[in-house]
Amino acid sequence: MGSLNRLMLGLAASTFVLAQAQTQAQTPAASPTAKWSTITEDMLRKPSANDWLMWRGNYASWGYSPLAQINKANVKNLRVAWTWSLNSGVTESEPLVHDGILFVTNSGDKIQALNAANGDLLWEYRRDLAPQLIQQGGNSLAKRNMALYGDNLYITTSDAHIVALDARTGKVAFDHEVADWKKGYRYSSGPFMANGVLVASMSGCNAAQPGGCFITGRDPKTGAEKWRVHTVAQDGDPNAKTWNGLPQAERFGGSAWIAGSYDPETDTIYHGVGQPYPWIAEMRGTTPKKEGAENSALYTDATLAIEPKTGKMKWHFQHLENDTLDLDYAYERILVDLPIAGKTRKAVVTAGKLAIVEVLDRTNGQFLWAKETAFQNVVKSIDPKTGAKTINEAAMPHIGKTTFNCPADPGARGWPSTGYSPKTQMLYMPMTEYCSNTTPTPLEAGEKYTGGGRAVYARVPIPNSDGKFGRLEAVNLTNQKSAWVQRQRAAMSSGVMPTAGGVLFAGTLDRYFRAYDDTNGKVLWETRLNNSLNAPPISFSVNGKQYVAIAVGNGSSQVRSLNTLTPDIKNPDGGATLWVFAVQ
Amino acid sequence: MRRFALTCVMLCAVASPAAAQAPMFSAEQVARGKASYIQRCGMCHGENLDDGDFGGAPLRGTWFRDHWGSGSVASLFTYVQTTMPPDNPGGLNDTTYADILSYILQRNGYAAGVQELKPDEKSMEAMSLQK
Repeated sequence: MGSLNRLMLGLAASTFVLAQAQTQAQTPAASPTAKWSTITEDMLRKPSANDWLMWRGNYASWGYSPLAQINKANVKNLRVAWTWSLNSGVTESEPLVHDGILFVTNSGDKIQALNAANGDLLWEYRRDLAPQLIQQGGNSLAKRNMALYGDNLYITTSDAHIVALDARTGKVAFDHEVADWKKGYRYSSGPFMANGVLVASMSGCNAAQPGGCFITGRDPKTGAEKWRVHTVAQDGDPNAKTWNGLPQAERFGGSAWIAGSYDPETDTIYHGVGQPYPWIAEMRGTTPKKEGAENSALYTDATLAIEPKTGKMKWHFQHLENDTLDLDYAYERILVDLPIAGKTRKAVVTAGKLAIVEVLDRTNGQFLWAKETAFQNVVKSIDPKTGAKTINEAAMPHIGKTTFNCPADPGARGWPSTGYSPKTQMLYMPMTEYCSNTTPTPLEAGEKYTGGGRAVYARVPIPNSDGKFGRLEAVNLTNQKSAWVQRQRAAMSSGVMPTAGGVLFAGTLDRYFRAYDDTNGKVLWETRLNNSLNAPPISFSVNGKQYVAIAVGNGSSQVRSLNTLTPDIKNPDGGATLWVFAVQ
Repeated sequence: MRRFALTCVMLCAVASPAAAQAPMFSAEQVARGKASYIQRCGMCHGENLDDGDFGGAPLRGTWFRDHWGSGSVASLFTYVQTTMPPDNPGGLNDTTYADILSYILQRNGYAAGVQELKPDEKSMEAMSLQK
């Protein structure tokens, strides 16, 4: 299925011998692949500060760099170290770095290994995707992350395969089809490791796939499937009864479209799940609730706690029952120990599209506390003991009506990840504030549901808006208070990265990449890049020098949706680039 | 064309009753329009024109008929050209808008012919979407 195109460094180096300049600086550097060290479980548990070994930097999904060479005083001297053009298209790619090799995924599942110090290409893997997928473009071709373990780089593909590449050469170690892409299944996020198990979460379950999506655990050596956790309760599961009597073939949704976290101490994977389909509960058949039935639609919009060796679900916590507004809870789960009422609690922290910070005990799923951030009108109140939400019924869409809800469908926070700094105990949240006039669109008479959300979202500013949509907020997880807020017209569109240097990196729709003081939100440095920033930044160190990298590119549904609020902000259609900065 | 668009926003609703001709577009144009539609519109409006995943309005069936079925091709063209794609209104070539419109019309039961739909003010004003 896949085709491999490798450009070996040895060949590249010999080709350039004739062009070799007189100075040592222009001599092709030795390949970092020669210094490659096999990645062990211990290394994943305690990643080197020099590397960016996994999605969000560590098992706890902090998105935090322990490097401090770039700090509040010298960040103003940050300059471009090198750049690399990526395939034009949706670019949500968080690169990985190990032993001086940077791995980046391009739109259309092209993977490249680059010398992290200078951008030299080490090898490249290109996938032959069906023309139909390429023509669709957009989100279908983007991947947010990859995984490293042993000597392999693991990727998921737009045609719903999971592939292992030798991280030193790009050679395919295995390639397994997981689902039929023609039925709408696709991977939009990559795999992640948990205690020696390769985990990958299926998405694209907006196309009426019977029984919804699933998460698989695999043997990283062979790719063989060890277990499968369904994100929509299946027949035989007691929670199948939460679908208001719908048969399994008519329970849709539950895309698991953001990679999860892993806690070695409790040996547990924490994973989010997206919304049910179609969005409108009256069309889905979970509203009105039948007498004696349950209609929360498990496990949509839930946190799942999964044992990595067996796939056993230890517990679940549903953040939003019977969602009827496309309000995913699919995003990262941040693992942190927090002082609560005089005790240290092992917590799992997340925020769904409502951007309400929700904190659970990760040993048992018990609700601990919640805090509202961006403007929203969907949840009226939250029970402080159980976390149960009282919903504002006026914001719920109904067939034949147009209703007003905040946030609109892309969420007050979208997929770009929050970040946590152990230095400040703050959770940093990239957000955008806006609302929607929402109108359900029923099926035509005689037609059967085959997919889609089935509602028109006319996005508008929040009531009494001052014209500023973007909101970057720091919430102190120790005292549960907002520490600071930065707002501007452009939506926040990138993930964030706090660092040990006290600098928080984040980007906006209008192409600005900024460094903020992590304690007060003051802008310390900014530069303008070539397109909207829609990926998380990372940091790494090679030969004692710290770098900051971010991939930019236009076209994701999230960026395009956010841009509808500010069509005056113009970005190029094409042009995706990996930018790498260092202090000069 | 841009001047036509702005003028039409103000006048097309009035001009619509004068439209009498059926929409004219070619099968080749429909094929081109389909390709452009999938690339530029499909994410929000869906592959089947009413099954989008990002909040776009249905472009076929009852919704289309209720919103556009009594006007002229010019009024629909102008709306699309001045508001779509919503993150970059007017960002496509006029001929691409005409191609996409041809595909939408074909999917709504209007018949393709030999002549292409041209992004031309007068000819589109003369074409009615009334069936």
